[in-house]
Amino acid sequence: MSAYEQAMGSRSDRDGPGCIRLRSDAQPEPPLLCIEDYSVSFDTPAGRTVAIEDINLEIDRGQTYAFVGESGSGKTVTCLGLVRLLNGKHATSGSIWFDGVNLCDIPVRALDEIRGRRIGVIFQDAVGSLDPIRTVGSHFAATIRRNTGRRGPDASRHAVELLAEVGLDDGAVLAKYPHELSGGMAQRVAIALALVGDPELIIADEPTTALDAANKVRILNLLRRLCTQRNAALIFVTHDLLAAAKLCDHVAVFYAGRIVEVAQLDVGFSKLRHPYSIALLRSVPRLVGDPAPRPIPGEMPSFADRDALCRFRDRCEYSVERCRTVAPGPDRFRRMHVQCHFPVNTTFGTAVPETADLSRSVKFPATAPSSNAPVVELRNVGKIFGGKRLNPFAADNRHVALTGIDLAIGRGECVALIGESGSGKSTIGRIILGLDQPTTGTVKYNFAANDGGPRKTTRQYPVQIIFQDARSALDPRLNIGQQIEEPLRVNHLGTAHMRRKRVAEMLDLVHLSPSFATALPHELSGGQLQRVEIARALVMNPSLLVCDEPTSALDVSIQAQIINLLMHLKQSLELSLLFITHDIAAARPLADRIAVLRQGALVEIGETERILRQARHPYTQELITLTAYENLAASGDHQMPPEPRQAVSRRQQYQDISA
Amino acid sequence: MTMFILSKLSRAVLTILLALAFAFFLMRIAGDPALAFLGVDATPEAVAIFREKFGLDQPLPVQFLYYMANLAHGDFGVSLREGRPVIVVVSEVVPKTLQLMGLGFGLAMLIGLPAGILAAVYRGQFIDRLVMVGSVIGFSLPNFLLGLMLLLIFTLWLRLLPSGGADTAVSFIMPTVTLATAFIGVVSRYTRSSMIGVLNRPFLRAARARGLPASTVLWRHALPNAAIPIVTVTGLMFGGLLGGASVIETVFAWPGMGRLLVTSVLSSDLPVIQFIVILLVITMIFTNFAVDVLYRILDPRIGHRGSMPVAGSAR
Amino acid sequence: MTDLSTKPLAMWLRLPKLSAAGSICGLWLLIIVIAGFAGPAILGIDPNGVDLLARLRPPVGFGGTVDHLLGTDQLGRDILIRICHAVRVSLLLALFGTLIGAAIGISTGFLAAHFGGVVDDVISTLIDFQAAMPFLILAIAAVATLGSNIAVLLVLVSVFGWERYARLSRGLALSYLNNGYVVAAQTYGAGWGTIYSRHILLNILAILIVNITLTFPEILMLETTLSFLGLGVQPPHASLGSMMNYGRDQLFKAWWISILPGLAIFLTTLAVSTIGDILSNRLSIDRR
Repeated sequence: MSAYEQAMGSRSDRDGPGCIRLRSDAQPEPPLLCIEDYSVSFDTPAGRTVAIEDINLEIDRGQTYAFVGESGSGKTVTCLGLVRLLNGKHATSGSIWFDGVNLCDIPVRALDEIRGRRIGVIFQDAVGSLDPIRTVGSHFAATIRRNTGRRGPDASRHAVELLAEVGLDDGAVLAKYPHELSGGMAQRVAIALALVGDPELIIADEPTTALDAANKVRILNLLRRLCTQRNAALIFVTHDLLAAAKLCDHVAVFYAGRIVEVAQLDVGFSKLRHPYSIALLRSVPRLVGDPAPRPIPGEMPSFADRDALCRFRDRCEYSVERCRTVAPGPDRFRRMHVQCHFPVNTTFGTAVPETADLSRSVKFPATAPSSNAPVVELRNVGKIFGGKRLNPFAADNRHVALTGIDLAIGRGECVALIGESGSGKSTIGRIILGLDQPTTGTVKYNFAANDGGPRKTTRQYPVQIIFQDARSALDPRLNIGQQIEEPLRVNHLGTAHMRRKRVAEMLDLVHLSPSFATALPHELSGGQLQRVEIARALVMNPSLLVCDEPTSALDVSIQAQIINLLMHLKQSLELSLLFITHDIAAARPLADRIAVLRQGALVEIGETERILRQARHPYTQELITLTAYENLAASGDHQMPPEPRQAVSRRQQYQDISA
Repeated sequence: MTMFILSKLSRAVLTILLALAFAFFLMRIAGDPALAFLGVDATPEAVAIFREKFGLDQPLPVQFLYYMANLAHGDFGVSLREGRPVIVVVSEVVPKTLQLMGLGFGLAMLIGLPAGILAAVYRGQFIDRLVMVGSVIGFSLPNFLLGLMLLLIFTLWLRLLPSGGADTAVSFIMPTVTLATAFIGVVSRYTRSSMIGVLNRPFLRAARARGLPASTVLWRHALPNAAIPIVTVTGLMFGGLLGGASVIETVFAWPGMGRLLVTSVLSSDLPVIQFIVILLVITMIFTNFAVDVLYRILDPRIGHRGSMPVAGSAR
Repeated sequence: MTDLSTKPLAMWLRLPKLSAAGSICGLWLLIIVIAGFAGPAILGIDPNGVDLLARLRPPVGFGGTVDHLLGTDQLGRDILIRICHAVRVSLLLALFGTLIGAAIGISTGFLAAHFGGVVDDVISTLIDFQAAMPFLILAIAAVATLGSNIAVLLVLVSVFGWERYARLSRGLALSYLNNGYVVAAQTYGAGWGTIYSRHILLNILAILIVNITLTFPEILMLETTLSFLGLGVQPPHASLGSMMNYGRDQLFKAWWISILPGLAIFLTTLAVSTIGDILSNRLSIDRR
């Protein structure tokens, strides 16, 4: 008799310490999905790595579960493992009972009958999950024929119905190719395809990560409505706790290959009790309350460093001796559960103690834009890309990137440049850096003869840049010390000894240990690389730092570390910053002023709090509403805030954006 | 689409003109065709008569204009060796070469495509290693060595196949196999890498997630996507096949264009060489033009309806 | 930088170690190089030494004697010593052809990527043109007009490969120019010379080396093919191809005159290609 069958027999067996039952008057109906001791390990050139370990979870029909965690936590591996869609050489153990069938045991042919018909899967990269050389209609035809047996006009009718259900009323979508769809449209098509077989369980693997704020909210609303209407269970994989709260009534928090907590989300986040869950929540930048996000110190242990003890212990502010010697209770309880010796609320109360960590405890008052001359001033800057080609028949590739940009950045001031991808925000950065010449208008610099570098000539390069992708921003061949030293070496500044000293100073400035100097980039994590990039940018003692989405590729807790570091550097070095981002909440802690860019033109510019409270331009208002919409949930308010722009129907909104 | 075709066509025509000019001046710089043909000890009178006959006494640019005008009239000159119009001499041998190339191409595809697909599907397993080792041997084996070894084995020792000529059906066997061998290696390798590229793409996993069985996903999504880059390589293969044919025709005494080219070079028959080169250049340029257009038709992503690709959708 | 030289060269280039098959291939290449460059001195026999009494002797194992290990040709010249000489000619031509082609290709590729616009159009058109042409036919035509000597051959084998390196380095440079560290290098004042040599070339070197293992065998094949057709290396020099051509008439009487030099070509191209395969596999570089 398997554990599952035992569970069928007497559910009270599972009552025990630490296990809080969801419903005391449990229905006799068995759960839809029951994961038992599920582990996955991958064969890599470096040996066998355990990606997830002893996952236990039960999901009933119609329940919506969020799998929340940072990259490497195992949330995606778990949900792809459920439907046996993991790539690469791997081994699994444990069992996954889906309506009485063990998905780990059945042959692939039987699994094909379940995938698509009873379990629908939605992926992160919606455009990539569609065959580029087939039309949307062709995808539907094959999927409908396979899962319902309907074909011909009957199948087309079904496809049109499904598309209407996901908000695509335009039948012309069927004739389009995937590359002709916007990200939001493609995700809707992917959702409609997952609905073909009317599945009882929908697995959505980060379906909104690649989307902009407006589409993100719309897709979340859509998924929520579909699951309610169809009474389908949902597994929503995300790194975003706020999105999880928006969509789901339960959350499973993943950390370093384990589920550390399973909790209800019915009253916001108030039922979260694991120190990691709480810390994760606090590291999210918000539009209300304390502007500075609280980073979690350190990083998630790598696959090699994971042991049987609590894996959060080294980053946990509550950890005591017991956490380092005794493993927390086994998570055999597939309902509400906290895998921790001292869940928050029960031992320490609700207050989160401040720690002595400099980067998180020091708060800086937002400096007003300085009255002295700005370090850089853009006047009426325009930029047109492309030009004449040799061949007169070649496609005209001219395109207007920027028009009439007026922007000034004061000394010690941070201006955040907010805009969607393609709005021209990176082009402004390149123009300020002198990498691109403006087609029209002027750029005026006004740098003081500030003496701080090894020699005065460092002033020659007073604008430096840090990038989103720190990995490609560092030469893979040079070690960290060489990377940071490179600007000095190229400019023949100082002796070798002086340069080494400067490198050590810079490592200290970005809170990296001096031992990193001899490491190669591939040995470092994303957050560490971003610190190295900052150190290299600052080694020449610049006046202005252009930050091109420096945090958007990082996990939430690391993101908060970098934002705090930048805040600290801005204050202590009187550094001017141009903070380019698409995320208004991430900009808030740093920015003195916010400039909103849309289709190559500045639509609004003003002080941060003023913009957040009373934005004048409708586009800015919409951006804030869409971001705040998720962030309000973070304040503990369990009431879902009103739909954005309630008077306008969802479809109209969609057309506004896609127009 | 019209703009695209015009653009590519204008480029093709320009390339042809450049190639013609290049060929002409190279020929003239190379030395006096009269001396080359008549020999260094020819009498001055003979040289003068020869020059006048072939218009070689005019200044170079004038010669070039004459040359272009003649080309435009379809007059490609007279073979110095045979005294017959070049166009007749060459057109007699073209069909034999085309037959050989067609058969070689067919055989290479027939074996190379399935081998590459199998290797990709069973990546890292025995069959993959077998295909990879086979393909590296295939294109490392010089075709003239293979040809000579086949002659030794099948003609001298086993006495099964004729040593040369193109008279009977069996005489096709050795030249075709020799020509195809290197290309089987190239095709299987290219197919494999193209397939592996496609097999890692997320839409295959998405198709499995929708319940489509593995075989359907392979035939419906993987193969058509992998085929697109293979189409372009077949265009490039055409040139390689021509080169291969000229060697193989020499080894097997095959009465084709490649052997004609080699014998013409050995006897300095410049008009024939020039015509063959022009013919090949034009053929290759139009083959590539056709491949470009075909690629464009097969792959809807590239400049659909002539519109510009929209920059930066989802990161 | 001094500290770079302290690391093993392979690690610096990020080249992986070779497997057993790779070692065998490396060993063969070592043998062939030693045979080509030291062989004649060690054996001390005149490659053109005619010995009419010892004509058409078969190799050892096929009825031959130890004084002519690989037999003799129709003039009684020792095949082994002639192969050693021919290997040197063939290897040197292929080697210089590869290196010159790579140098031309990499510089033009970088130029196209750097300047874009009309420069890129011109270079790209040339690349496309050459890629589309059957190079062997063009080479035959060139030999017809320019005559066949070592200098013409060297030019031809050099021109053969440039288009691949140009295409490759142009594409790689374009993608590396967008890499953060290249952009950052511009903002802190590194010159283009530094950027291309230090940050781009050194990072793509491994890919270029893998590509060399792909072009080298083809260049060797081009030269031997031309020589085999009688259009390449001319007497008194001999290349592996011209030896095969010379022995063709005697194929049915004395197969070893043609086949043995052919096997030397085959094993050499096979060894280089296999090493290239192993390297590209380890570096996960897709070569086609």
